Amino acid sequence: MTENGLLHLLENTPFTSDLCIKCNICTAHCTVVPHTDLFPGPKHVGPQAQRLREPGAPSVDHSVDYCSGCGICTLVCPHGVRVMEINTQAKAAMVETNGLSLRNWFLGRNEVWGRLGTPFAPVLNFFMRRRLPRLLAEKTFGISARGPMPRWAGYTFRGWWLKRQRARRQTDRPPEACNPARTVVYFHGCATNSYEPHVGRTAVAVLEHLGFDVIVSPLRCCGLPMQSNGDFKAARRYARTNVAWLEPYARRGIPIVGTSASCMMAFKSDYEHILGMADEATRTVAAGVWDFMEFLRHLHEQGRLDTTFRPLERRLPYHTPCQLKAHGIGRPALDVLALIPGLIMQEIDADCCGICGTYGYKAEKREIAEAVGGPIVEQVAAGGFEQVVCDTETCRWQITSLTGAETFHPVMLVAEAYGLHMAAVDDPLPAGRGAP
Amino acid sequence: MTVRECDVLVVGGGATGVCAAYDLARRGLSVTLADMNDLSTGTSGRFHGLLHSGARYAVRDPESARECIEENRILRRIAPHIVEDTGGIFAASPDDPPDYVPQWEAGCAAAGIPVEPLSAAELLRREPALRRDLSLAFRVPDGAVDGFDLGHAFSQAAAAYGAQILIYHELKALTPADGGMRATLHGKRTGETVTVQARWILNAAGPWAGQVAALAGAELQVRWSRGVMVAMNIRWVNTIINRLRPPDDGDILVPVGTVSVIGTTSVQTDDPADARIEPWEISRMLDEGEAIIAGFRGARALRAWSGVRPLYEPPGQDAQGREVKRTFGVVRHEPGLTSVVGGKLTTARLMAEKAADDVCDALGIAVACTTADEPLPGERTRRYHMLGHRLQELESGRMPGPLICECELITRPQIEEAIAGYDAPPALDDLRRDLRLGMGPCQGGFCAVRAAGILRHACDLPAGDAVDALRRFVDERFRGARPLLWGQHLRQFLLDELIYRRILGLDVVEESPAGAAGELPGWAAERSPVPAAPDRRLIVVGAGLAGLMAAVFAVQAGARVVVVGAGLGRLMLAPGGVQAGPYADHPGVAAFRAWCADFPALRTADGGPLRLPSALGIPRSLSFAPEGLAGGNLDCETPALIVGLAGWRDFDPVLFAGVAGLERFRPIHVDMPGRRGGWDLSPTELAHRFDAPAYRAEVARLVQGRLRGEGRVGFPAVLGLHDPGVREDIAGRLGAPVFEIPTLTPSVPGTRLYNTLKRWLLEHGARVQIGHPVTRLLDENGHVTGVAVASAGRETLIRADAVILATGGLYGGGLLSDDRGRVWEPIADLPVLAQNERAAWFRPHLLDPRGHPVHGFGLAVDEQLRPLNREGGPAYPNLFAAGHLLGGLEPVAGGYDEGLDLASAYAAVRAALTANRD
Ligand SMILES: Cc1cc2nc3c(=O)[nH]c(=O)nc-3n(C[C@H](O)[C@H](O)[C@H](O)COP(=O)(O)OP(=O)(O)OC[C@H]3O[C@@H](n4cnc5c(N)ncnc54)[C@H](O)[C@@H]3O)c2cc1C
Ligand code: SF4
Ligand code: SF4
Repeated sequence: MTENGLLHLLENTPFTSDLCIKCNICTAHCTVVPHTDLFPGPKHVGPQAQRLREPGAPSVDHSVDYCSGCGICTLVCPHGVRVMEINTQAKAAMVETNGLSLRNWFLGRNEVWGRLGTPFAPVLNFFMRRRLPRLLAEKTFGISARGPMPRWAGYTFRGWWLKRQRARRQTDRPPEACNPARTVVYFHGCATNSYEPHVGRTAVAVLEHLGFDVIVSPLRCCGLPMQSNGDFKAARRYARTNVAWLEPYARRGIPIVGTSASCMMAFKSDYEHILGMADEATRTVAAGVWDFMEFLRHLHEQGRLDTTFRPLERRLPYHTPCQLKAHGIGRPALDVLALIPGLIMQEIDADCCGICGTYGYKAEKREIAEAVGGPIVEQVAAGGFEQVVCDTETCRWQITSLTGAETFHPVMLVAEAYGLHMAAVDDPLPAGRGAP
Repeated sequence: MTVRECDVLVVGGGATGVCAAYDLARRGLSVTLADMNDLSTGTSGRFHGLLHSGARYAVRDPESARECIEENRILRRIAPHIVEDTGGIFAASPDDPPDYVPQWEAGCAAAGIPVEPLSAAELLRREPALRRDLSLAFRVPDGAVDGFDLGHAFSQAAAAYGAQILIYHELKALTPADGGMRATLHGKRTGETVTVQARWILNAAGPWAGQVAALAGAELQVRWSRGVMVAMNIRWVNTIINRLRPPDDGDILVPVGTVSVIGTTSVQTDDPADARIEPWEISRMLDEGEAIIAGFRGARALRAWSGVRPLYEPPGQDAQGREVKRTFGVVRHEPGLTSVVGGKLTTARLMAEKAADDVCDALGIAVACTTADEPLPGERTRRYHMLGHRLQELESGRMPGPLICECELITRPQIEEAIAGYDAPPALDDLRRDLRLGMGPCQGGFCAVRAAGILRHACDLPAGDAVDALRRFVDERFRGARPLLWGQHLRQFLLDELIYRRILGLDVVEESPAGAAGELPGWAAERSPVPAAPDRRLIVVGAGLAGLMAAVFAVQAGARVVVVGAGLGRLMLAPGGVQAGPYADHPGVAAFRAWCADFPALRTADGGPLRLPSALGIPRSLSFAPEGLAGGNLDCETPALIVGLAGWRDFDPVLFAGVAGLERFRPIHVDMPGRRGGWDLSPTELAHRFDAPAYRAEVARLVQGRLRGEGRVGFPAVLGLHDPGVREDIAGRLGAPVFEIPTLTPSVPGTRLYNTLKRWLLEHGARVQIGHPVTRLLDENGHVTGVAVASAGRETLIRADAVILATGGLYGGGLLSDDRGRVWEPIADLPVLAQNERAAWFRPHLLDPRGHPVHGFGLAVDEQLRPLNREGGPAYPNLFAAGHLLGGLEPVAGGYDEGLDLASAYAAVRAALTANRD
């Protein structure tokens, strides 16, 4: 926060460099700095370099490209400097000056690849798990052969939802036709759509179990992968479409919930503080968006959460994604899971798993990404754990690839404790399309 | 006594003087230029930085306007490398006099100044920070120019034509002799007298022109008008912004290099060297800035300075301040002297031309001026005049070497080169002027000590002299900043102070045991332990030593704890070890020591007070310290090898050993193995490398060959961050105990402590939530029920049975302050013990052993550590405060920084867990 509390300008990302007192706390906690010589650290590429960047002039720096965007710097800074946000904007300026590499363009479009790949799931899943094609992709394209490849589910969450709606002769209601007290908009994100539709289906099952009418937002990428690759133009396009669709619901007080903490963070903060969309509609959406577990915690605080959980006698480690830390909402998953009898959760002490969206898929950064995840590997091994709970999908894939442990979203535990199973979810999938 | 001969002696090395020297030398005359100080240290080094387009004078002073636009064009042609082509904008708001705009447009047209209207949308795109109501805008060809660069460029050009430049030579006497003039100059630095026999004298002494004329018995009327300017920390705008209204105070904002400068005032004075800056002048500038940019007042001001305008008043005129025309005069005084006075920096070349014409005329020489025709000779390197220039050089690898001044981007080789340009060791302040060293936001906090080390090395100075140079620099920087210490810049100086005192030990005048602290506050009397409180929920606000240890104490008592911190606290920065002072036997301090005992990296050495060396080898007293640091005990007679890593900017073993002045300390440098790191290798990054066994084995191998039987080995405190066994491992390899010496921030011992605390808390089920500030308390029926956090998108509420505020004082952000002298507590608006007279916040010297009144600002509390309300009773029964947020104390100079945090954390937890819940 700022002195006087009135400085709208000092909240404007580039101008927060005015607040930096050079203490180096961010540098000491940057997740990338220890693992490469190519990155001089958040203080330097952030507020320090920002004083020397001229808006509109060609970008002159490139080392900021090694920032993973984990955002830990912004969190540890005691002075309100939006370091990560400054870095991300500087990356966009680099792209404006030097153009977007084909690889980064590709990585920014995972929504499209997810959808296009779905019909070819078995083939793709086969090939993307073979060394040779992966090495080829690395050599020709710069996509790391070790980056954790998700599996195409073979059907999409949205496809499933529409079929189910059709089967029930229902359509998603427009905002004015909803009862705000009983309706929730579920934003599922690209990864749930193509790779982990079961997370979305479970989330819907839990929401419906709690008596909500669920509306599923038509899938559009939140824009984050494009934003973190410096492609602000495309990211803003997606952001505007999302805001335009969500805002009428948010304005009516209908909660927008999501199981992907990173997409939710894009809505809550990045649209304004990174993409510079400081308009009312964006703010209305930001104020109306909930991380899924945060929403459950909120219901509990209001006495509206069904707490008739079946005991789960288990001890599990939990990783808070860096993106979720950035929400500033504490550890809602732990708060909610603490209500389940018998379940003991242990928070892993790690700033970031290293993947940071698309960062860990880049060949030249893969080694860094693996090193950043080191503390998770150590603690999972030390605890002898075989499962890890985590709210964001790319983080889960990364943790699985680093530790070998099975990973899942906390909503899976909630559903299990409610005794909800996939079978309980009305499932009109055509036979042969591998439902989990 | 030396006698020099020349055709013309130019007196004054400001803009006018250097231009005149160049002009005359170009015409083939032999020229000597003398200035009593360095070049550009008069008005030309203290002006606003604007290369006028003339538009400012278009209405009232058409002649100046015409001169300006012509000279503006000429300077861009002959010396493009010293002009930053920012362009200028004149903008009017609906409140400005409407009839002025057409007059102004007509004036510009008449003077030949190109004016281009800007649409409101275009203006917003170019300058998003501007107030929206400044909507009527025009673009003009203003530019920015740095007085030092101009002086440098023209004096070099003059030298290329054979001119002699004598700096630090003051003209003391002028007498007619041998058909010319004999000038007596006093060499300020050499102490020698230099006599110059010249055919003619050109007086370009700016504000002092009257005095110089008087030396020749001539009379010259110069009026003085002082102006104050304030440089803001960043470029709020990238174009020069002028208010489109009749010229007045504070109506121009100039982006110059990395800063933007608001100015100026205009005050009549009777002293040509008047350097006063009145508080009202600063407030006035902030007010005017606020009229250009909404929120300007809360932005950070970096430095303020004043300059004196030499305004020429031809006999018979009687105007004042801004009324006096800004043209200039050339006056010949017989015998042998021409004076040039008035004008502007923008028109310095023209002034020089006219003055040189007069001199040539007097000497009967018929050579015309050609300075407007060709570019300046000599080096054309664009120095810093593209904002991103240094960044580009650094990023592209063309500026190798470690980064010394991180704010203004200056690397070691640049400093060495600058030092090599001096015959005698320069002051750090000279390097500041040459390179902008220490001119950025931190004002020398990090670079000064590094530069002192480089100076010692380059000039082979005794270590004590290097430290004296450092002390002088610290003092000078503080003197300049003192009028501007509020808000964020105040926090900067509290950090700088921590570095100078706690890390470098610069405040230790002579050996004195820490803790001349006076009486203990009432809450410290209670010594009973924290009771068990298994079901209590506690929120601790603040993640510094006080906050995190409060959480530990509460968790130990069985409470459920959430720590909420806006960022990390000062424990990340302190050099390690505990100054407990009078709190040494408080149970909180003992409990901390007991907690540390479980962790090899934190475990403290047995026994009581220690004398440990600071990062500069100056003895500092500590109550106790981790074993790693305690090994450096100065009272231990065992000889030590002091190891530095070659090329690493943050530790100079030679300076360290030299200052310590101990025979038994022998400094060496060893190479840094493997990866050398970029320009920005921080202590924590280096510590990460030591975590790798191969890395430290290699360092140990390099050190081993250099041991001469020393019984201990000292390293900078970078021996591992995560692996607690690094120090022991190296010791084993060397066969001698190893100790660590503190470094600049981030402090590795501090980071280890933070990391261990966080891990412990998570393992014990506490929540540590960093990154979002608590904005308010939740309360019901006079009880605190929780806090609201400004999380992304909206606020998040956390509930608890009690809340401990450990948000730090003015440094930590637990208190905020502004330029009007207000100090407030932002979460609950609790009353603060503070003075509102800002001039009284700091003593004149930053390192005053008594500390400063600001250190005592904070909350008043009762014996239960409950903050008091305005009526003097506890504000809430279940709200507590701990750490540096407590007022009325002097932990910094009193030597009990950690003692206060630990004792108050313990006492606050005890009170919070005992307090009645309803
Ligand atoms: C607040 C302020 C803002 C201004 N802003 C602008 C602006 O934005 N744009 C612009 O174009 N102009 C500006 N000006 C005007 C401009 O700065 C001056 O007109 C110009 O710098 C004068 O240069 P000078 O060489 O004549 O004098 P100076 O720079 O003062 O040089 C005189 C030199 O003579 C030396 N000297 C004096 N006595 C002796 C002696 N006995 N022996 C040896 N040396 C001696 C002094 O040390 C000094 O270095 C501003 C002025 C002020 C005060
Ligand atoms: S950005 Fe924040 S944490 Fe980093 S150096 Fe600046 S003030 Fe410190
Ligand atoms: S966002 Fe993460 S990687 Fe980037 S500078 Fe900040 S801490 Fe480092």
